[in-house]
Amino acid sequence: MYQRALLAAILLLVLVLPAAAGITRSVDQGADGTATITLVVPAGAIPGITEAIPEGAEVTSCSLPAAQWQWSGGFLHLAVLDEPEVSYTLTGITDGDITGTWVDFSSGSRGVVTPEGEDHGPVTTAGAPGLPATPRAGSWPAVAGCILAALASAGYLLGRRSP
Amino acid sequence: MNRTSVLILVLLLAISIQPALAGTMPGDRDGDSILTREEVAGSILSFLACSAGGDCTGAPDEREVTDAVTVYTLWGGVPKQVTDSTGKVRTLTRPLRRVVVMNGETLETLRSLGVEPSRIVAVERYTGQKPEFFPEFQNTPSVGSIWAPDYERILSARPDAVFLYATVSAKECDEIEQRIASANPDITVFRIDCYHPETYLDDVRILGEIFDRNEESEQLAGFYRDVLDTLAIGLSDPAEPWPAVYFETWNDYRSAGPGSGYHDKIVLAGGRNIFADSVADYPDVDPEAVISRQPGVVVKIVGTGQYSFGGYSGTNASAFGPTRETLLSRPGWDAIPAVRQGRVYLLHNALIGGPQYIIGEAYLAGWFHPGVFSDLDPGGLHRMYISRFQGLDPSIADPARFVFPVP
Repeated sequence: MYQRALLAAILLLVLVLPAAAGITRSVDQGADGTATITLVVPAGAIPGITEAIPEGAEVTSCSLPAAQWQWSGGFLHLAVLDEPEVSYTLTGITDGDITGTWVDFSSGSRGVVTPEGEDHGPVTTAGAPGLPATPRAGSWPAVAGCILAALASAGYLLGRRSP
Repeated sequence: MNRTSVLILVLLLAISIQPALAGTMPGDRDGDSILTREEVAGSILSFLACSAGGDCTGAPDEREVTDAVTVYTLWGGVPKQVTDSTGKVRTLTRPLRRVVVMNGETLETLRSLGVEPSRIVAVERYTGQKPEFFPEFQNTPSVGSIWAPDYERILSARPDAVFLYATVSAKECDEIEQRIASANPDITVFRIDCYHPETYLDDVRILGEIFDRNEESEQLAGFYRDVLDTLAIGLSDPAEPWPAVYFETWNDYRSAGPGSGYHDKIVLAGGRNIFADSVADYPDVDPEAVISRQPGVVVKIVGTGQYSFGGYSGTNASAFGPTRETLLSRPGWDAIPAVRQGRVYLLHNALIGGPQYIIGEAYLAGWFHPGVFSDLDPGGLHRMYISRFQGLDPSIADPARFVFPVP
C-alpha cells in the first residue's frame, strides 16, 4: 500500500513540476454562458501571452490595465509585467478550445499555456499551441519523466501480478 | 584623395551609420528617454499581434522587446549611467548586444560573469593565440591589438561598445577611443583594466553593472575576498617573519621595483622585496647584488620570452625542471639561503598578471610562509576558478604546467 502511495507521489511530482515552470490556465464556467479564464504566471517572468479564443466567443474584460491587453482577430494578447495572475472574461461561448503561447522576455524562454485542473462546460482549455512556438524548456525532461514513470508503474503492476 | 580612399571612407561611414539604434531607448515611442509601463506593454502587444499574423507596421522584433523589458525592469526605465575605471560616466540606452573587447583580461572577466559569448562580436588578436583558454572565441573576428588596431574591422563589427584598457597602454587606448568617437559617437567606449589587484574588484563590479550581472560579480568578488582575507589573517601575526624575496621576471636578472605590480604582489603575499629600494619599476640588477642581499626565497617568472613554456597549452612543460637547475647553478648562487634551503620557485606568468593573480598570490604565500598557509590549496583554487568561473575543463589547471616544484 505504501509502495503505491509512493509511486503515485513520484508520478505526481514528475507530471506537475515541469508544468509549474510555465504559465497555467484554469477555466471557471458561469451559468450565463460566460467563463472566467485565469492565467497564473511564475514569479520573475515577464511574458507576452497570446490566447487563441474559440470562434464566436468574445473577450469582454480583463484584469490587466487597458494598455496591457489587446483583443483582435480572435486573439487576446497580454503584456504581463509584474502581475502574478491575469483573469479575463469570455461571453458568447459555444464550443471549442482555448489555446495559448507565451514568450518570457526576462529569460528568453517560451512555451504553451498549459491547462490546470479539469475542464467544465463547452469551453475547454487545451495545451496545444495556437501559434508556432519552440518547445518550452523542460518539456523533453517532462516527456522522458513521464515515460520513465509509466515504465516504472507498468513494472510495478506486472511485478504484483506475477506469482 | 584617390578613388580607393573615397570608397573606403564612404564604406566606413555607411558601416558606422548602421547601428543607429544604439543611441535610442528600445520601445521609447515618444523619444523622451523615459520608458513607461505603457510603452513596454505597447511593444509587447505589437510584437505579439505581428507574430499572430496581425499588423506588423512598426512592430518591434523579439530582441527589441527583450531589451525594452530589461531597461524597464532592471534599469527603472531610464538610461543607465556607469562610471568606468577612468572615472568617466558612460551612458547606456539599451543592453549591450554587440561588444568589441580589445583587452584580454576584460574578456576573461566577462566570462567569469557569465556574459554570453554571442555578445562578443570581435576580440583582440592575442585571443586567437590561446585556443585552450579561449576556445569559444577562436572564430571570432580579430580587430588587431591596442598597439595596432584595425579600425575598419572595429567599425565593421557594428559594435554597441568597445572595451579598452583604462591605465595600461593609456596613450594607445586614448587614441583608439578618440578615433572611434569621431567615426561613430553612438559607440560607447568603456575603459577598464581588469589587470591590477588593487582595482580588480572595482572593475568586476563595473562590468557587473554594465551587463546586469550584479549577482555574478558579487560571487566572483567573494571568491577573491576569501583568498585575500585568508592571506590577511595569516599575515596578521607580527611574530611571523617575512622572508627576503628575489623576484625575477622572464628576463634574466630583471627584477621588480616598488613602482611595479610585481612588487605589490610580493608584499601582498608577505614577502620583503630585496630590491624595494630600486628607482626603476623593472630594474636590471647586478648579479652580485642578488647574492649579497641573501634572499630567503627566489621566484622566477616563466611563460614568456625565452622561457615560453607551460601554461594552458602545456607546451614543453618539461622545461620547468631544467630551467630551475640553470638558476641553481648560476655563479655564486650556492651562497644564497634560498638555494641552500631549496626555496627557488618558478611561476607561470598566467598566474601572476591579470585576473588570475589571486592564484599566484596563493602560491607565493605558501612559498613565503609554508607554516602559516599549509592549508591553502592554490591548485584547488586554480581548478575552482577554471571550472566554476571560466567554465573550462579543470584539467587544464594542472599545477605541473604552472609552477615548479609542484607542491
